Amino acid sequence: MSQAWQFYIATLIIYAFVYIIAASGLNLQFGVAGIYNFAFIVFQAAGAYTTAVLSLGPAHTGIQTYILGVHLPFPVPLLVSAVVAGLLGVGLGAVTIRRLRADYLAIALLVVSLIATDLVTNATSLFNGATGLSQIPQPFVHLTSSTSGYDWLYAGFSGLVCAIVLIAVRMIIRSPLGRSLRALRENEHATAALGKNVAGMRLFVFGVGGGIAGISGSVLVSFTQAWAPSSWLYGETFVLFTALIVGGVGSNLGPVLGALLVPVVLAEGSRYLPAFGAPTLVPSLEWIAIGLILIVFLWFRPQGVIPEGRRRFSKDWRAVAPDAGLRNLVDDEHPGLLTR
Amino acid sequence: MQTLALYVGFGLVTASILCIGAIGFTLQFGISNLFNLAFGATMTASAFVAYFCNEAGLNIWLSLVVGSLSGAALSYLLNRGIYVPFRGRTTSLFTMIMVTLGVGLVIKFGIEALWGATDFSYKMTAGRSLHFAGMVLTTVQVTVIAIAAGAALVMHGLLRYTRIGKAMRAVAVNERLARNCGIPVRIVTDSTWLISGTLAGIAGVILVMDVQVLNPTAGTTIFILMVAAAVLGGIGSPYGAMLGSVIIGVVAEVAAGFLSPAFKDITSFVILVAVLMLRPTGVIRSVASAKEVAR
Amino acid sequence: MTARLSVVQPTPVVESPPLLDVHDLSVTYGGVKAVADVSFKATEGSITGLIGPNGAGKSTTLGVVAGAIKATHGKVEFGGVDVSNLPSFRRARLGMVRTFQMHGEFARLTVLENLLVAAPGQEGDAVRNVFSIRRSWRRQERDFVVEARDLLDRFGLATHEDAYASELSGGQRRLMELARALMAKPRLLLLDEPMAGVNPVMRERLGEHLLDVASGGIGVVLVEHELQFVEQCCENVYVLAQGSVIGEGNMSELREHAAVLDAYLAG
Repeated sequence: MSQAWQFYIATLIIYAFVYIIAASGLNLQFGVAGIYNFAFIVFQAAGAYTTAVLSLGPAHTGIQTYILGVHLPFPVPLLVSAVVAGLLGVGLGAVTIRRLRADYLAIALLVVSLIATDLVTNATSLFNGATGLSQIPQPFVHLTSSTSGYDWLYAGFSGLVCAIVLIAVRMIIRSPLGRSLRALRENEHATAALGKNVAGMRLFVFGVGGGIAGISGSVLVSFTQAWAPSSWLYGETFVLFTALIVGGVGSNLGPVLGALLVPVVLAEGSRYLPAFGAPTLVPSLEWIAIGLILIVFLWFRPQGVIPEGRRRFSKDWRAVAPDAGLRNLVDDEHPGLLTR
Repeated sequence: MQTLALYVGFGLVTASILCIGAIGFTLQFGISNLFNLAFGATMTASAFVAYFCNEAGLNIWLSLVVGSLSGAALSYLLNRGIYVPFRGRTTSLFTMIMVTLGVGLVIKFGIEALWGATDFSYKMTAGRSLHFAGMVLTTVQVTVIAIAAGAALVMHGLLRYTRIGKAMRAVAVNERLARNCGIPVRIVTDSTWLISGTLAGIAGVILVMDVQVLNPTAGTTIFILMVAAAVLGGIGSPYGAMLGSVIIGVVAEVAAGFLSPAFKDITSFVILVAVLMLRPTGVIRSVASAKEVAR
Repeated sequence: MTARLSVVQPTPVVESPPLLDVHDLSVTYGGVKAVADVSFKATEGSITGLIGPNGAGKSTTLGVVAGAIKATHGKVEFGGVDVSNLPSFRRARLGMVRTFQMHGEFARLTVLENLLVAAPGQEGDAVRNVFSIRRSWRRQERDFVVEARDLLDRFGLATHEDAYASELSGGQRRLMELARALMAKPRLLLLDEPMAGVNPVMRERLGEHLLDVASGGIGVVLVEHELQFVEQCCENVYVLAQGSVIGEGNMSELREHAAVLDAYLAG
């Protein structure tokens, strides 16, 4: 396989993993807890910028200006990015605690996304404004000698991160906390009336979802080595929402499928089309496709291809004789007991 | 003081454009209980229709009329064809806003796909500069202000003194009660979408007249400012929209003038978020409270 | 009246405070007094009714007691503790559980899951336990499922345990909500029109369950329109009209009360 092909496939795989991570984070907020976070992409950006300014060396004025630039080694930037984005999420969650109607809140968060873009673009000393940051150092480059070797290594690394995120999110969804979050989604007042700390749960979801978004940004930027406001326009959040609505809202595999179908197929698949018409034609068609897919799915299949499954519990779990109880304990480890 | 008057002048122009759009947007919320995120795209589409009329030889002011009528038609069709069927199917407010989003994307990028992302302009001059009370405005800009003032007066007359206007207000506050009182809700709804669509069309065209450039992204940023104006004034209230437009328009231009042009949008956005956090129902909260936008 | 032993005086027992003691509750919405200086008590093991015509402020009162609505002034004491400034979830954790007039169910959770959400002291709700390898909450979960199934059996909903709450009929949802409230091991139940939309047969069953529950020592405060049901179950009844308490006693007493009759005829 030629060098160019290897690079292309590896890049595609890395993008796929990044999108899956991001979609999982949004799924936790939107699919499980019912929070319509229209500012989601800001958290990916926070993670990306944090990794960038922690990986880059000190800024040389004239080339690009930015804060920090402390050239920290892997994995510090990644971990710090997750924390920063997570804290930002908690901050946003704390401020939006106000009881706004769901769609009203969505608009508020959308505008927060716009403010963030405007701020970063204009406060050029932060992250080099509209031009953005480039030549961001890649982590663990010394491990391989060839570039294609590195690409595959990074693809493996992003797969590993993706797997960890997916496992963590799965653990949350399947736990009693996950069930309480879904209850929060369904009926906030009833959830509080049963003793659940609704405000705390909401902060948790904002924080963890934000942190996951930050991880996706960190993984992405460490490979692409560049990041600018154009990388995280408010529309990107809509792409992720569409991915969830298509793939499946609230389930474990829904975000995976959605991330593969929408951002990956749509964005990357369009590379194969011969560049016809004006240079903006193909991107316009992509956006038209997103709009149409949204409308069609919301009409025919709003829960997505892989919806949240019906949770059943083992029929053996009732008041039974003691040894049968012991058997139930052992059976706990078998996945089949909790069918989806 | 001199410069303040100058910026206030510009602020009035911006406020005028915002006013027309904000009234339209807020009327749609009031009558159908949804935030029509496709409103900006409707404005742009109407501006393009006016452009083609203008290119075909029609005088710009007549093109404005045609453009606004196309806005009315498009809005009416969107509501009847897409929004109403969806509202019949789902009670989820979030689904509705995503639907309007999808529609907006299709229209905006449909325009871009067909005519490219290049800039067009109307066949018109900006007119000569007028100096008045420290403000410097072109004749076109003064006309824009006049159009907005006229539209506001017409809306006021409509809402206060006509049956349809009163019916619109009644449905916005309590649809079920209005229906029980014998108000033909369907006709009132259709009329509201036609009227608000006309306003969208006018807003789109006069925007292009003011900035002298037309492209597919024309409606986007100013639409958010219209939302800010509508929310600040009290979502669902046309008078609130007028008030909010003046505040946002003037504050934005003054901030842009004294601080830097970059601050124009960001001040409006910050005002919007602050309103949503602190007093979500806005200044005039009759409709907003009735629709329970904040609990 | 029992005769007192004359030789040895029994040590005076300090009377334990009523389970629920509400003092001078007032709620004002923009000039309108929805609730005006309402005071009432509820004791353990008894069922107290709150009745009155529409708009009397019954549901608002319940909402304030539960912590969902902020009172303009007044005090709520639960088990002797002043809970007036506690958010509703903290009151629930103290044992005050309420149901809702409408849409109280978790629609896209199964009936069994609805009950499981209510289980108190669930370790799996804490973040640190969610990620622990030992997953100690699994054992607890099994116990909760057993308990929930038992409750569902008692309420006749066992066959519906895997149905989404939205798939149940109105009456079944009411039963489920009651079962769910019981799952939370309450000391006090605040029920907002539990009979609304329920057919007479189900109503009888619900009434029996309530009496059962009360006999177990749980206190119940009941907002209801169904006066027959109130008569069947409630020992003490408060009548509200236009935000104030206009009468108190048992149903037969109240039936004679002039002000009460007026209120019902007028409103």
